[in-house]
Amino acid sequence: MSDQPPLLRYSPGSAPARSLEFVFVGREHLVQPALDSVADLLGDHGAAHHLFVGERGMGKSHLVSMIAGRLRRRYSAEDVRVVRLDEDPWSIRDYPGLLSAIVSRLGVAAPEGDVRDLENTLTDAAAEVPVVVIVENLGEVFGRIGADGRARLRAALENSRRITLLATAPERPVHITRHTEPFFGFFDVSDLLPLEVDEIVELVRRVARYSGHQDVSEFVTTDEGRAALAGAHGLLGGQPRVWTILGEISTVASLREPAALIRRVLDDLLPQYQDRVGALPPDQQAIVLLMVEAGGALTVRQIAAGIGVDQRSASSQLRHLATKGWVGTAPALTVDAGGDRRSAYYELREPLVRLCIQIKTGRGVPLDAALAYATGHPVAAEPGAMIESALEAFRADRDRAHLMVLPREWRTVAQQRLAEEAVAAG
Amino acid sequence: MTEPLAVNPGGSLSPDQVVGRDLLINQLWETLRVQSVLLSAERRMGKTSVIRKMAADAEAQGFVGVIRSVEDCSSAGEFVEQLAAGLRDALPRSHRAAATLRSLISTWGVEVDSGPIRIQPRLREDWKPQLQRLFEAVTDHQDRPVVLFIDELSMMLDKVRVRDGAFVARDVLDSLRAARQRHPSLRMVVSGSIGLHHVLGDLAHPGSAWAPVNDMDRVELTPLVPAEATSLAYRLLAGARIPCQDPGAVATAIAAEVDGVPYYVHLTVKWLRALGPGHLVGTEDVRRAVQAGIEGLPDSWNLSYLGERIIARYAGSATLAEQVLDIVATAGPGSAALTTAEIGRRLGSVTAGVDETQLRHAVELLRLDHYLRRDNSFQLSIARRYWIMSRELV
Repeated sequence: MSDQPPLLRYSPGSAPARSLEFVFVGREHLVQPALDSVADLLGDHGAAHHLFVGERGMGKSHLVSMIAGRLRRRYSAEDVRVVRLDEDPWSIRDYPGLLSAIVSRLGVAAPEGDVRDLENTLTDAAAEVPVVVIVENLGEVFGRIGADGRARLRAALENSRRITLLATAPERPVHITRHTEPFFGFFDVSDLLPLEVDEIVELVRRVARYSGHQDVSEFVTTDEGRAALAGAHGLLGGQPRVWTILGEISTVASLREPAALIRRVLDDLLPQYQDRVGALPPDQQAIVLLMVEAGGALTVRQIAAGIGVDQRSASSQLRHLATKGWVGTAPALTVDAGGDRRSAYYELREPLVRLCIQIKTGRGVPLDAALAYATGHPVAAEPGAMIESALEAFRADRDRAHLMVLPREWRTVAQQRLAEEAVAAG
Repeated sequence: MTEPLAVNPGGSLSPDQVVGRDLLINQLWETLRVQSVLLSAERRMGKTSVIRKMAADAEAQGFVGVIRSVEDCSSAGEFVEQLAAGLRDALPRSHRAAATLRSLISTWGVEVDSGPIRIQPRLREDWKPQLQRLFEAVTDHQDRPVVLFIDELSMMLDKVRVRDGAFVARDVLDSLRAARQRHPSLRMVVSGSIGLHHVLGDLAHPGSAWAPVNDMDRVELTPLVPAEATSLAYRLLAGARIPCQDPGAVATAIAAEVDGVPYYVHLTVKWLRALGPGHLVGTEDVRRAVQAGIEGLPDSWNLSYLGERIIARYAGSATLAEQVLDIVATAGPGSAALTTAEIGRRLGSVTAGVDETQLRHAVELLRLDHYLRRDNSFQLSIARRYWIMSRELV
């Protein structure tokens, strides 16, 4: 092991800036717009407020830590004040509590009096030096400050225009999506998307190097190492925390036979997903289970039929799930296809959800078969047979529905096959 | 002006970042020379940006301008305090009305020079005379008219109604109307996110002829005209340093695809920026961006309110309003707009016993909420496309 301080996978806000920078991969494009907004704030060119949305482990805290660090390096406290609230807002019970938390971190004595004195103290301080407030778990904070607090906060921000919020949330808070809310459409919202294979290779390479595993760091950049990570990516998805764990515990030998490694990661994550599924309302749980069982993408019509509700209700529940980050629109096919073009297809955003539920429930494609296929050991023929069957049906009538039933990673394989066939056919 | 602009969907723009609207703003200033203005628009159309730009330009137009977002006010007394603080901060000390205003504030027993104003509880309770005195103080002793830009008034009125009752909220509106009539040099520009017609509907006695804003000129903030929207898109593309095959063509396509709504112009450019510096953007990418905004999950363009508002606000007219939109949405974008009578006829084949009065009421609400134009076509093609997608209409 190296003598570096450990990577803090669950509390990056406490990690040294150097280690944060070293393993910062795939999120750089989100940093610059936030820095530009702060530059605009300082230049009196308006105030933009950013919200970064991603489920747990997607790197939200890491991202805002990076932004805060770069702001502190770029500007002095005379130029801009950067205030970071606690990640878990347990100490904020109401709107005055939120204001007090900000004001105390500015080093300003909290005034005696009521909430307007607190607002005034904050806006006076911001009038002297612009303030950037970093708020994590925005939905929870907004819930705690109540409807009146949200209205007051919005008015204070609008009337001051010297304060910028950089916020994170595991899902889009209802307080920014509901039409009647003061913060409706107020934030520049960016989703933290799963990392792609190239980014995963880079992340694992850096984490391994940081952890002193030079051999792993070199192996993952070889064709063999990259293929191993790409196969595992099909199953584990692109959550940075997962790959940070994997980068720390991997050996070259375990990456060559990654099934055991993947099982270990899945086992670590299982309680987290159990809790998340358990917290969903019954209709939404039913949709998630249906999607696990289906494996691939579904239309609203199929979902409604699958769980026995009308389409309007299914559509509404689907939107709730999307807002919470569970499902997303399936990407368009890269091959020319027909079928019902009006209907959009939806699927689970994270393959991990599917696998963890499969482990618990035994639904969907058996895990052993999926593992074997994804890791290049197709001892179980099931995934390969499913892809072949879908391809055969698609070749017959070019209806995209045949491909959409496949899990995303196998759909990609099928599309590659079709593209190769098209090239071969000239 | 072709300076690059930063993408900022939903945030506060500085006046120099507000693209277009010059013609409208000139018209508003002309109107304000004779009467006050009720500025209505769909949410995120840019009302606040327009009134901020106007407030910044008030002095050059010969007005004293004060802008205040009042959604934080939960009571009439707090509204008076907010206005007083705004006027105090806006009026230079040398201004003739400034001394009168400071003198008034001192009678409320509060700090005159800075900070929030808190009227003594006894006087605060009796807020109406204080509001009258406030307007007298700032209008009677000066040669320049005062224009108050009051943002989010409808949200404040809703809060006052919930906290103190409908009669107090009505009283606020009546007092503002009385002030406009009493003081010839006082003007107001009122706007709000919740349609004021919904709030007035909640406040009015059934069947009453109460019309507290009918002395104001109702101005609807429409989308940017194509040249303005194209200019905005062009500047945002430059600001985001997005490589384009043909920047002019891409900007024109953005303006057309999003109906010239500035918020969606920002969101489209943001989506294009995410394609990365290695992607050379073309007009097909613009169509993909808008399609993703309308159809994608999560609803990153926040269009689901189009359905939610009807359910939340239309009470007994909700189902009828949805059916009206279904019919209009499927009439085809290129076909002639439908008359209300024709909608009624088509509804008759769907639902028996459609009452004409109810139908006209539903259509009127849909127009006031910016779903429909006066000719009953969809105001925004984006809204039509979303409606068709979300209702799974053929």
